[in-house]
Formats: sequence, structure tokens, C-alpha cells
Amino acid sequence: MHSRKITIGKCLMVVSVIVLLVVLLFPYVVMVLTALKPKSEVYAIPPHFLPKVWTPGNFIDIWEKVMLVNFITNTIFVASLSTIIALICAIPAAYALARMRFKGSKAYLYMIIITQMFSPIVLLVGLYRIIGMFGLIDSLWGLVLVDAAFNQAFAVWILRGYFASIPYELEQAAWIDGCSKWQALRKVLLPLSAPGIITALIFVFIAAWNEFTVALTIMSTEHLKPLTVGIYAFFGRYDIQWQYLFATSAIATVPVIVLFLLIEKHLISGLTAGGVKE
Amino acid sequence: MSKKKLLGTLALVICIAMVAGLLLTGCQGAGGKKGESGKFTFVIAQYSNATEPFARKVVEDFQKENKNIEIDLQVVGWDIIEQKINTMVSTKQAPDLLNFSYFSRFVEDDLLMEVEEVISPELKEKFYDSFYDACKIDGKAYAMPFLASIRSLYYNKAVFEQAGITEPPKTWSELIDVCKVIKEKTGIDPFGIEMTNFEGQAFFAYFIWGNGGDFKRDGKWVINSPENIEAVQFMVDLINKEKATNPQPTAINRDELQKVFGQGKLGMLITANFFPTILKSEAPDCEYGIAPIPVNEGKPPMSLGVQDFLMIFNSTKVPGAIGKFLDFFFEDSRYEEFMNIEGMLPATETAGKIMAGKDETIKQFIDLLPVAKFYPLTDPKYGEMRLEIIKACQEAILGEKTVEQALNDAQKKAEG
Amino acid sequence: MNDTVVTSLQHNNKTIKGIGKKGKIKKLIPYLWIAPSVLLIAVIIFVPILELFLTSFSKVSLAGIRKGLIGFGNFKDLFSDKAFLIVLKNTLVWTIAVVGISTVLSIGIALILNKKFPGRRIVRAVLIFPWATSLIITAAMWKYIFDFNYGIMNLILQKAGIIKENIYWLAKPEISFPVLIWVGIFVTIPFTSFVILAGLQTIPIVLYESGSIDGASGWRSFCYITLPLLKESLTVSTVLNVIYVFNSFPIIWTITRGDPLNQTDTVVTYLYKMAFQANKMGQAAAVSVISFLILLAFSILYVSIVMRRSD
Repeated sequence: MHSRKITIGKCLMVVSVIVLLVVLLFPYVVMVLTALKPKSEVYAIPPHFLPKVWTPGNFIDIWEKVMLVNFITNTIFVASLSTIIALICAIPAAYALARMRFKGSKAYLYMIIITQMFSPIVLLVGLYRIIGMFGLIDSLWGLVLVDAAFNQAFAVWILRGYFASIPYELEQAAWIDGCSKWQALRKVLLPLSAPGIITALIFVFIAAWNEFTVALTIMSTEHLKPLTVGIYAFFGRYDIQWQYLFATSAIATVPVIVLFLLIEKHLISGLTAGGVKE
Repeated sequence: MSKKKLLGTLALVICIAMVAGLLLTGCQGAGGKKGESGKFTFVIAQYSNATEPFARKVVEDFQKENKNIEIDLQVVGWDIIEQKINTMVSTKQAPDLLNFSYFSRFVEDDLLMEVEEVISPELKEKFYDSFYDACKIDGKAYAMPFLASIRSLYYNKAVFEQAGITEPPKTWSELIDVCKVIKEKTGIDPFGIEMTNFEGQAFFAYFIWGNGGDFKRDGKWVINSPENIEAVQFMVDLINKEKATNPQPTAINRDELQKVFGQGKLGMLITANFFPTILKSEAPDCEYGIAPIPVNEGKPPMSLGVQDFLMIFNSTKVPGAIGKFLDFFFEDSRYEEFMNIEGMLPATETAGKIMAGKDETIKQFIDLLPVAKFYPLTDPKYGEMRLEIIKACQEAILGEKTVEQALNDAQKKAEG
Repeated sequence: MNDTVVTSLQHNNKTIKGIGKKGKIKKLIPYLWIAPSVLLIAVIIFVPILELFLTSFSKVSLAGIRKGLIGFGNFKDLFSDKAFLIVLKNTLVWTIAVVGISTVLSIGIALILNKKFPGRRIVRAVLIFPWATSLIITAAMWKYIFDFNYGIMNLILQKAGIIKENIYWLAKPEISFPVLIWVGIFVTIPFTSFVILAGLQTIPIVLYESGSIDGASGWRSFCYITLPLLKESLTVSTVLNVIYVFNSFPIIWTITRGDPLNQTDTVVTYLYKMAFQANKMGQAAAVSVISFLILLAFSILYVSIVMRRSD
């Protein structure tokens, strides 16, 4: 009785994992296969799943057609720096919210959530003005600031929840051992909240990696463009080069996946792995 | 209590913001000298992958000859140029020289220089009169034509052969006949129509102009004129009654129809002269013919010309340098090269003559230029009315309203 | 039994009042901790928001330049257009469907990914795909897949014998809107799953162990242990998802552009058309002020309901 239940459960899980994988991968398989087709095949009617003439050359052409190396470096620059700045600002704020009681803490929470309630599209004019004031039009630093600011909300919210879920006693114990508050935060709280920090980090990084609207409006020098804007070169007025667009997008996804694989194991460390279990 | 605090925080933040805002709007410089040297921004729309390298080369060549002029070239994709330009203009950071498909709204705000204050008389003489005149508001030119495209009927020769048709249709009744035969003999959708907010207004134009109607007459919008109602009714019947078109005209845009045509799944499509360039790379095996757009019996032939503009913002400090650059840009051989790269038609008569002499197809297009009509782009309301017209046609096609009701409602928006 | 464990844990969460001693300097400390974040937000985001409000009450020229205040004129014009009500309704359906379905699916996915099984790392990495790809590209891909003429979806369904004639997926809103919602769910699931997964990690295994000693079944331990402890994560993911999905632009814009007749428009695509195609910046700003108010009302309501239940 008991064991059969487990096997049914296991089967169900295997099936759902497979379904999940198929659904998630399907469009990306189509993307890569399309990127391997010559242009004349992209719009075949009726369509065929596999390329008739395999054209891996598309993946080579794009490096010459656009400044792909620049685009990728720019995007990595913007995404990394805005993630760092966003977290540097968010961690102390989240800590204060979780551990200290002060007037205006709720107001602050509402304030950061309000920042998310406007579609960047409508804020463009204002953003352009403010970025212009700092002299950062057509500068990657402008993007870094914007991305860091717009991602405060998520970072602070998720970190606050995380910090709050970690027993305060652990920090207090550290104080008794002679740690300062800052040391206790660094040595006790931060390692324990690794999954939360990693989640926030991934989130901010990806959001900055994919930011488009603002980058599009403020960046214009070709070699300074981030990827999302740079690949727009394949959208002509009358003609879209899908095979190149998809090839570029496939390549652009790789760094994010690599980054994710590198830090993924921290997602499962932290609390469950730490001593809190006891 | 926290509410009070929230308000307090908000107030503080708003104060900071206001101060910042004031500082910002305060420091805008004013210019307007006839500068021959200096730096200016040139925003050009991206027509294809080749636009950026070509424009960059032109700018570099020009700067080599003119060491005292520096050009900040920005190539912006079409999909996004509206939003970029809009942002630049509303934050008073407009470019000096802009290539765009609209200009009248900037005239309304008095942001553009009169073209003739900047360009040389020789350059002005080069432009086709009809193109140049389309840049005039109250008799003054606030933009100059940059390049043009012209529309014709493209028909798939294989489909026509299979259906046993030798001649493309010239009139609406011939169009219906041809469609019927194609449908019967081949089962392929005979005629392509798009009615989405991509370019639905073009198909509206083909039909109303083919019936002697128009967008505006004597300076007033006449969207619901009897000719227009009859024309749109004809289009709706072609879709719903004759079933002579692609199945869902409100769900496919012209670019996608072009792909379907290239795959041999569409008999006829009205589209622009750059279509052959696209077919060459996308569907090299597709054999097609080019013919005039069919019109209603007894109506004169016509075509839709679409031109993009170059305009100079009056915030520029170096109109002299811009004038020099324009002379350089429109030099026949350079300009001709640009047109060939993009598959576009020249806006200058001199380049037109040279190109027509070299290529029979191009000659065919250039000969159409005298009968070309344009969208009412000199009306700043056109941007809004374009959407209203598309909406009205969609309503009529989807049977939400009768043609007359739909066009009447659009007309009300135009008058309101 | 379970309850006492949970509450004792929550006690630990309670912040401890009056850190340090009295004195004004000590009171200021929390503000120093939040100062960088406040500064960043105030400068970068609140100035543009202020400008937006100003624009919504201003007459704006077609070129986008403000020409003085006109009160509620832009808002009045907005409601005179019947399409705006359709758009509001669409936005509501879109947001609720995408967030609701994504959340339910994500809880399931997070529970699976929280278990140890061979290949878990791969599944987690794959889960990040839709999130790591630019939204425009993902949307373009789905549009390509669902295309009537050259889309792979029709081909697959025909080969599988499920359909005989190609389906026009993206024409009538009855079919195209669900397709849009599906794409919305597809891109929302990774974020939601990871937030919930992070939340699951904070639940000490000891709770489940004590639960299973009591003989709690899987479903019961899910309802009584997992869900209550996920509340924080679910609140975060729901509030943020509602806001993001509500404001989502690229999916609908790329796939249907809101056609036909605004029937697949949501507030954001509608205001984009208004701002950059019809050149009515004032009205577009008014639309976004209204959608801000809707989101604000929702967030306050939701957060206060959730928070109240917890206390």
C-alpha cells in the first residue's frame, strides 16, 4: 500500500518533469532550428521542422554583421554593475526593515513598490531628462543607474522576507561572542540568506540583461549598445532577418545560463544546509 | 501614523523632484547663427542592414573633406524611431538633422527651420516637384524629400499560368473575375489585403483613390464621402462575399503577406518597389509580374507614393554645415548608390533619370511617379486619423458596423 | 502541534524593539541603513513619475511638448472612447489569468524542484530559459510558432491528427487572447517558481518530520505546513507579478499589436499607441495615472488582507 503510493508519486513526478522540460524547451528548439535555416527556408509554406539546408554559417555571419562582441560586453557590464549597486543599496535597507522598528518603514515599503507601478514606457520622457541632467545620455552608466533603481523593489522585498525568516537569536549570539552588528550581519545573516540573495541577484541581473525600453531611448552609439538594442539591427523597415535574430538570441542566452549554473548550487544551500535545522 | 509618514516621505521626494525639474528646464541654450562649422546630430532611420554602414561611410567621407564639421550619426530602427524622436523632442534635445516619415507635428510647434534657409538653390532644383510640394505647409517647405517608394500590383506568374490567365486585371470588375478564376482553378487565395495597424491605411488608400475618393478635399477631411463608402464596401465585399482574399485581413501585416506571396500561396498583392529586392533573397525562385493598381471603371490610374523626409530643427547652431552636408549627400552618384542599396526610388530628378536609364524595372517605377498620390502627411492629425481609419475598416470587415456607419464615425473623429 | 512549531518560529521573526539605548542618534540609524536605497529611487524614479503626473494634467502638443495645465481634460477624453473600457476589461482578464495560472503551476514546479532527483540541476537551468531570453524574442518566437501560414504549431497538430485544417491562432480574440495569456504564463513561470523555491528553502525540514510523525498526509502537510510558510514568498511574487503582468508590453505588442479593434489591447499597448502613434501624450499619461491608481489600490488591499490574516 505504502510503497505503491510512492511509485505512483514517483511516476507522476517523472511525467511532470518531462512535460515541463518539453514545454520549456520547445520554443528554444524551434529558435535554434530556425537559426540554422537559410533565409529562403524560414518562411516555407508548409513549414518544415528541420532545416533542409543546414546553415550553421548564420552563427558565424552575425559576428561580422553586428558588433556582437561589443554588445555582449556592454550588456555584461550593465547587468553586473547594476546588480552590484542594487544589492549594495538593498541589503542594508532590507536589513533595517527586518530587524529594526522605525517610523516610516511601511512608507518606505510602499514607496519602493510604487516605483514598479509605472510602465517604463510612460516614464521615458522623465527618465531621459534626469539622465541628461547627469550627462549620462548615451552612456552605459545611465543604464546602470536606471536598472539598479528600478530593481530596488524586488531586491528589498525578497531580502527583507529572507532576513526576517532567519532567527534573530543567531545574530544575538554572535554579538555576545563579540561581533559588531555589521560583522554579525556579514558573518551570520548573509551566509544564511544565500538563497535569498542569489534569487535577488539572478532577478536583478536578468532584468538588467533584458532591459530594452530605456536602453533603446538613451543609447545611440553603435559600439556602446547593449544586446537588446543592438540586435534591433536585424529589424529593417521592410525586412526582418529572423535567422540572424534567432541565432543572436540563442547566443545571448548562453551567458545567463552559465552564470546561473555557476551560482545555482547556492540556491539550495543556506538554511536547509546550515545549522538552523536543528 | 504610517500614513502620515508616507505622505511626509512623498512630499519630501516630490520637493526634491521639483527642484530637479526646475533646474532642468531652466538650462536650455538658444542658438540660430548661420554656423558653417561645428558639430551636429544626424538621426537617420534604419531601412535595412545596409543603412548603417553606408551612412557611416558618407559621414566619414564628408568629414574628411570638411575638417571643421563633425557629425554625430545615429541610426535608429523603424519600430522604435517614433518613441526615440518623441522623447528627444519633448526634452528639448531634438537632433539637428532628422530623417523621419512625419514632419507636420513639429511645424505646429514651430520647431523646424524652413528648408530654403538651409539648402542651396541647386539642391532644391534637383527634387521632383511633386515630392517637394508635398513638404509644403502654407506654401513653405519645412522638410525635403529623402527617398520614396511606389506601389504596384505584383502577380505570381505561376499562379496566373495555372489558372490560365494571361493579363493582370486593370479594373475592379476584371479583378473580381480574375479572382474567381484563380480561386476555382488553383484554390490559392487570389488577392492579398492587410487591415492591421501596421499599414491598413495603404489598402484604404488603394481602394478610395481607385474610386476617385480621397482622405481630404479642399483642406477638409472627407473620410465618409460617397466615393469612399463605395470603395470600402467593394473591399469588404471582396473579403467577405467573394472570399477572394487571404482569410483574416485583420490579422496579417503586409510584410507577412509578402512572405506568403513569395511562397506562391497568394495570387496578387499590392506592395512597394522594394519588394523585388526582398524576393531576391527570400524566395529567389518566385516568378512575378508587375502591373498598375486596378481602379474602378473609368477612373484615372493612380499609385500610392510614400516618401520619407529630412528636416532641420531650428535649435541647430550650424545650418550652414548642414546645408553643405546635404549638397554632399544628394550628389547624384552617392545618392544613386544609396537608392540601389535600399531598393528605394530617388527623390531627385537627376538621380531618377540616371537610374531609369540603367534599369528597365526602375524606369517602370519612376514613370509612375507623376500619378503618385501621397498620404495627407502635412496634416498633423494624420497620425491619429490613420488609426481611426484602420479601426473603421476593421469594424466594417468584422461586421461590427456597416461601412457607412464606420466611416461616419471616423469622420466625426476627424472633425472633433 | 504543527501550529505551535509555526508560531514559535514566527516569534523569532518578530523584530526586537529599541535596539541600543535611547537617544536621537540611535533613532536615526535605521534611516542611514535605508538612505542609499531611498536616494537612488528618489532621484532616478520619482522625478520621472512627477513629470508623468504633470503631463497627465497638461495640454500636450502633437510633438510632445507641454503647453500648460488643463485639469482633468485628458481623463475626460479618455472615458469618451468606448475602447478604453474594453481595454480595461482585457487588462483585468490578462492579469488575473496570467498571474493566477502561473502561480498555481509555479507552486507545483517549485515543489518538484525542491525534491532531490537526478537531473535537477538541468531542469532548474532549463527553467531559467524563458526568463533569460529577451521578452521581445520570446514573443516573436511564439508568434512564429503560432502563425497561420508558416507556423510549426499547425504542422505538429496536423501530423498528430488532431486538426485537419490549419487554425488561425492569432486572428479572432477568442483564440488569440488565450494564446497571448499562454505566452504570458510561459514567461512568468520562471520568476514565480524561483521565488517560491527560495521560500521553500526556508522551511526547516524538521517541520515536515514532525508532521509525518503525526501522520499528516502529503496534501495535509502541504496545506498546513508549506502554504502558511510560503505566505511571504507568495505575497512578494503575487504583488510583483500583478504589477509586472499588468504593465507587460512586448508580448501583446509583438504578437497582435492589440488588433483587431482593441480586442487584444491591454492598458499598456493602448497607451503606447496613444503616445507614439496617435501622438496624444497627455492622454497616454492619463491612462498610466489611472493604471497606477488601480495597481496601488490592489497592492494596498492585497497586502493588508494578507498581513491581517497573519497577525
